[in-house]
Amino acid sequence: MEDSQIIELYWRKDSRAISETSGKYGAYCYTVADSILNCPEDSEECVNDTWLQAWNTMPPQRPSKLKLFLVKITRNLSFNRFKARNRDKRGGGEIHLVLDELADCLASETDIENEYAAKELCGCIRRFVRRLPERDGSVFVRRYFFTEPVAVIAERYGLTENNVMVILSRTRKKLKTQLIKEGYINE
Amino acid sequence: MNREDLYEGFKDIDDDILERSEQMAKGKKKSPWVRWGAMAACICLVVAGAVGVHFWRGNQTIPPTPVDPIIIPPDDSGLTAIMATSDTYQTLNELLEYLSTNDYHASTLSADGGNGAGNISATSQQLVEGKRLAACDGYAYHAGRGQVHISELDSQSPIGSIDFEAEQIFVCGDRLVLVDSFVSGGSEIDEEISACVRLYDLNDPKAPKLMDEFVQLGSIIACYVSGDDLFLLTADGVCACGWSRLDDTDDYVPALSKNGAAVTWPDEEICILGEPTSVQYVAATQINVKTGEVANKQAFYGDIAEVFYGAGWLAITTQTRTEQVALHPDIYTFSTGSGYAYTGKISTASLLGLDSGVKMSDGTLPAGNYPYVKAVTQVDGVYRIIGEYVTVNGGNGSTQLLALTANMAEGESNYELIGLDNGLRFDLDDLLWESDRAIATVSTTELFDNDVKVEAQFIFAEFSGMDVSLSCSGIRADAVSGVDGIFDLGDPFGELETLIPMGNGIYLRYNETPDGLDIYDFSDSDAPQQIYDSLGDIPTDCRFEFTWEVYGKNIFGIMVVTPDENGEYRNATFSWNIYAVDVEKENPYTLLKAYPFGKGSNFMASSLGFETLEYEGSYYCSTMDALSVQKLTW
Repeated sequence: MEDSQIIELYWRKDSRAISETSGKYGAYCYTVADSILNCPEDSEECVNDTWLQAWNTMPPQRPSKLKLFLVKITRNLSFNRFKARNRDKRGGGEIHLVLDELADCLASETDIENEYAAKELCGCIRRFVRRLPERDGSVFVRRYFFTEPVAVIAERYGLTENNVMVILSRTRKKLKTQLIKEGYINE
Repeated sequence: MNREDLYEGFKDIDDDILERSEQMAKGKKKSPWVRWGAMAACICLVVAGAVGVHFWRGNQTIPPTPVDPIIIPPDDSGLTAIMATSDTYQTLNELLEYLSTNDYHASTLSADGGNGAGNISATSQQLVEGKRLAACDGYAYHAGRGQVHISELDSQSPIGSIDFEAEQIFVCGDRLVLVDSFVSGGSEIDEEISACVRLYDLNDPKAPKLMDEFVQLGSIIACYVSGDDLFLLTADGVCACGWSRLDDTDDYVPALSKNGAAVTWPDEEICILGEPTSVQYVAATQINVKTGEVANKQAFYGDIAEVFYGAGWLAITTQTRTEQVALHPDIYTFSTGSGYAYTGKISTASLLGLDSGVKMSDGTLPAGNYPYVKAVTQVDGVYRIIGEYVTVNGGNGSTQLLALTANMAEGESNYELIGLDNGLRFDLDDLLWESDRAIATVSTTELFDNDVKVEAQFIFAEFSGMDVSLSCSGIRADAVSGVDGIFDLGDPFGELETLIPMGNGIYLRYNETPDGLDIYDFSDSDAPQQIYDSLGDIPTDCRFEFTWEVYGKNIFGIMVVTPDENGEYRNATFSWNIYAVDVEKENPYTLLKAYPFGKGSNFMASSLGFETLEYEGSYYCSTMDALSVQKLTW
């Protein structure tokens, strides 16, 4: 079923919307959730919560890209669950590697605290990624939005894993520079 | 802020960026292009919703993919109306009907899922596009801000101006040609771009007289002069799903006007390349600058990747990539001059013994071999093509350089492949065409205990008729991809022409660590040598806007960029430095003259739009802020 038809089902509050969404994007959202949670049960629950949140937000929302609309929900839910679950412990999974890499972008002491600044940070990152060259931007979001393993990104784009790591490393440095320039972190 | 906050900061990445990341193919060149924005996407959505779901016929189908021989010379009988560049579609209407339910809204084609905004660029190794500075009969015309300034070369003094913001300026006989692109309509988020060409009579070079004005819809991807003809190539695209709800199919046909009156674009001037998955096209218009008449025009519809051109020929590469299929590059060739005559297709897949494409289950490439066309030129009727031949096999793939020749008239082809001595995968960063040779600069990446080593190597492709031979230099050099951390003063990943040919086989090449210019002797492809390893002597901090000109034997000019005392490029100063190079000397570079740019300077106030020109043995330069040209002496 086309996305526009599925969205139409959500708007009509037709329960087939859930089954159609699950059939079409269930595996996709599960992959994203499991990259973060590394736990089949938790991932499955987050995917189900995704359908619920989609149900509650359509209407009024009518996403132009259903797939990306859903994956953003999945990512947020999964990461919230990850934070709640892992507040005091560390486990396996790609997310730990991703977070460790992102720590490169931060100074030892940083200083944004309030919600307003966090929203601004989203805008800063959004602008930063948009200015990146196409390939580098795509590699960057595969890693830090989709939490994909380096090997998967390498295969996706026909690059070597080393090449992907180099792109990520360089781009993180650029992000750090940008964050310093915009005052999110100290030099 | 901690790392979790940073991770969460990615949650609002724009959809088009995310979607693009799902689709992106390897090795695409970047170029500016019109973005068919939210309007196209909205039109699709609204139209789809308004008409109802019956219009949709389930999943998109894979476009038909006929099996092609290596080279398909055109059938003369097919040249009358729609040229036989597609086995499937005879008319634009047929294509539009198919795409009405099968238009592939590839995110690589558009920032927002609309259609038409491809990454099409056009390059030539033989013809030079218009510069911002041209001269005629002792007078110079250079692009300023909103005006074209006229100045006298002898006195270097301004004498007048034309109210026109020009991107490119040509002098062709007694005609001055000004070219610009402008926003011709649309909305703030979905601007419609058009190209404007003005022809001026130069019988009085101090006061050019406007003769004709042409406006063509689309972004300029190439504009060049060959003989008395100006060739204007623009690219555009329109979302095709729900096309039947648009007023008429003319909306999908290029729009051209002369002096405000529409010029018709008949069916026979429309050419469909293969089996497009979306509506995007390149419109090529040939204008005789003497008569002001449109001599020829042709619109090429297809999954166009890049356009290459030279005197008398045009080559268009197509490459399809959707969620379901990836088709290998095809090269459609045309002769130009007296119309656009189809001279045949080069199917890289057939040539390399591959299937025409692969099916993909999730948008990723399965293990296998994939050719990518990087550059095309033509010499004496033989096409020369350089590309990458990539073997995808997880993280263990390989890359080879592909050099290919094709004679369309004879239906002959030949190719060679070569990998690096150390077997590493590489990216083709830079290519310098010469009369019988191409020098490819490739970069490799290795990882040692978390330390990254990026190196450049050189591969030489020697051409002789249909023969081609490849050799690896073994020389290691710095990979040059730009500079980190510069976002506001230029693209840090801009394509750099890293090799500066000084003649007699001597080449200067930008070296990143430390900044400077190495010197190579590439006179013998089988025994290339590095004869000077830069000590960081010249040019200091020449790190972006890497602009250079060779002024003759052993003399060259180069843009030097110096950051401020804090190392910031926001307040960088510029200088056009002219050097002599003597490879026999221990310190080979001698600064002959420096023309600094900047506030308070008696030279130019700004480097914006810097351009140089040779005219009757003298050299001049201009910038957008200057009212007159300045003579360069050393």
